[in-house]
Amino acid sequence: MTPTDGSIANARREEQGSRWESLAAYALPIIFVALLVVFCLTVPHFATWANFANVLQRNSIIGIVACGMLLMIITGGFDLSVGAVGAMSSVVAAALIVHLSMPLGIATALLLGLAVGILNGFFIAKVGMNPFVTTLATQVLVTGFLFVGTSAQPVYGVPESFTVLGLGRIGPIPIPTLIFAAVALVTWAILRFTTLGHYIYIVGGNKTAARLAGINVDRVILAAYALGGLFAAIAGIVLLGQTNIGQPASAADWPLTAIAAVVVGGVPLSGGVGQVWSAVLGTLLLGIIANALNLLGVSPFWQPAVTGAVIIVAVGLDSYQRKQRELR
Amino acid sequence: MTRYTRRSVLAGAAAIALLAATGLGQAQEGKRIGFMIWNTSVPFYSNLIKMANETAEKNGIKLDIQSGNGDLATQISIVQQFIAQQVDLIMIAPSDPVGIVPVIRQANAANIPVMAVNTSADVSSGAKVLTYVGVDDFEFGQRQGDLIVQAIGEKGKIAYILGKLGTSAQLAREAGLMDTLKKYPGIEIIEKQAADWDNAKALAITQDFLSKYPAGAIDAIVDQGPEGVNGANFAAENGRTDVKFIMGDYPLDVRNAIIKGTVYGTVNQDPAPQGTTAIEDAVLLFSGKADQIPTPNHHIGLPTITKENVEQFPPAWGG
Repeated sequence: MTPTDGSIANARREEQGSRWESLAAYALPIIFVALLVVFCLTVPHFATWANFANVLQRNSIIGIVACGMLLMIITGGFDLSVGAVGAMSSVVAAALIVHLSMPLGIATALLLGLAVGILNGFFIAKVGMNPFVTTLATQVLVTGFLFVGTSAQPVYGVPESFTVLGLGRIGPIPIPTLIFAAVALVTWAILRFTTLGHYIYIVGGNKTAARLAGINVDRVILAAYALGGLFAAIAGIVLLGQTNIGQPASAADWPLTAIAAVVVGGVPLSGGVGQVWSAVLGTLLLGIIANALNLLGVSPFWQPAVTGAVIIVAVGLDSYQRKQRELR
Repeated sequence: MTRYTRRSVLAGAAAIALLAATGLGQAQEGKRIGFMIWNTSVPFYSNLIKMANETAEKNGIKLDIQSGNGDLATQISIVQQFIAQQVDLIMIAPSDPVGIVPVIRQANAANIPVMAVNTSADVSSGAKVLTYVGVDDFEFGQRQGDLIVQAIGEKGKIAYILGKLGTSAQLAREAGLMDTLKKYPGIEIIEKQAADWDNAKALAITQDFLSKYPAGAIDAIVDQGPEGVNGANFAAENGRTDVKFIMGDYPLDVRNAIIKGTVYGTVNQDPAPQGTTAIEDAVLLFSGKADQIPTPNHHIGLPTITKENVEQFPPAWGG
């Protein structure tokens, strides 16, 4: 073999390697599209717009929460209080809509969500508490206040017209999905175009380096958690639009479902990386799987097991590929 | 200074005299009841708690209600705490009928009577329970079965939305429903999914059933709880009036849906009389009339509600 041949072979191998790498980076979208095609071909009644619209509508809530969760995960944290904030938002909005006015109810609910988010951010950034402990504590705290305030009674009496927000459609598109799209777009714009977005990545990647570079780390973390709280409150309002009752015990499974959606989308919990499309695709992936299982009539005993397996496989593939890349 | 002391002493003496006078009259006065509810944050319990508290107050009974937060270990430790406090009666609404048995035995050993309220306890292995005040979830399921027959006749296809898998209400209601449907082989359950007593999940499952079964392919959707009401309204808005919806329990939103016609009917398990009856049975016990308490079960009626009688019944909660 002549040296030239060797270098050509090397170059080719490198080219193949990088092609494989770029393919691996898109593993999730590929899995998603493949599953979608398989479901369309094999699951009866799956490939209808009515069904797609239903899936989009019901997963929009978790999608909105996941967008906020993504921001917090990129900073290297996460938020267990999003469910409590969502329930609080729907209960407060319901109570104020019934007794005072709709705009006031929505505005107050959103402000309260923002406030809990800021509280989380304050304890994590300024006091230096661990995100797990902080958000677990605020979750319990907020839930407790809700139960005290309502005696665990749902708030009834929201006018039925309010369900437009949760069940209505503009043309063929469900309104919650439009809200989800808007939230995702805002999150994307923040991460892509604003200094805050760039700082979120830097802080998540290496806090010390970020601080030495003159970034106000505390303020960045505070902003991420504030947005997370706000998004959870938005999701709570959409939930109210779907169920029409403000239920203090609702939304308990949001935190873990939203974290699952983000990590299934290929975002590591270690922070520093992550894109909005990961949160969106992760949400929709879990959503279409649940939908397909229902349509196939899979026993409810099996459903959680299938979801668990999907999370392990998706995150496992992603982590393994990430590890290989680091070794190279 | 002395004047105040004298006055407060007089007031105190008067109060004691008053207490003694009333206390002599009624045996239940000042008795203490510890009431463990597996999870007080379930909306269903709010009226039960309210009525239990009101009835206890009226009879001068000190009622201490504690929540088990849905966790069996917490439930056990609360009952143990009641035993340590030597209350006069322990009421329990356990999440699991069998898991609570060991601590009932501890109460039996400490000679503290135990009464099951709303959810039952297993007495087959020798744990002694005064009585069970509540409804029979098996009968609840049977009533739902009757409603199905009433709604669609003796032949048809139905989908069934379950509550949280493994909870006693889910298991017993399903067994009861199956018991009734045994008599009607023409009625076929073609789908079963669990919505975990969650409104959003019940809505999603209902939508999937409706996508899978076009008009004419399904006759009724039955939900073990009231959560499917949003799905029923969704179906009506999307022109699927061919499907009859049957709920369980009777909160305000289900009542409104029955009036509107989107829900065919429901079974009313009213929590309020359970709270009242439990305390009234306790009063009987404290005044030495324990033999008047119905045993082993003090079942409270389960009316079915449809458009015909909905106006007579105020909602069980949320009103």
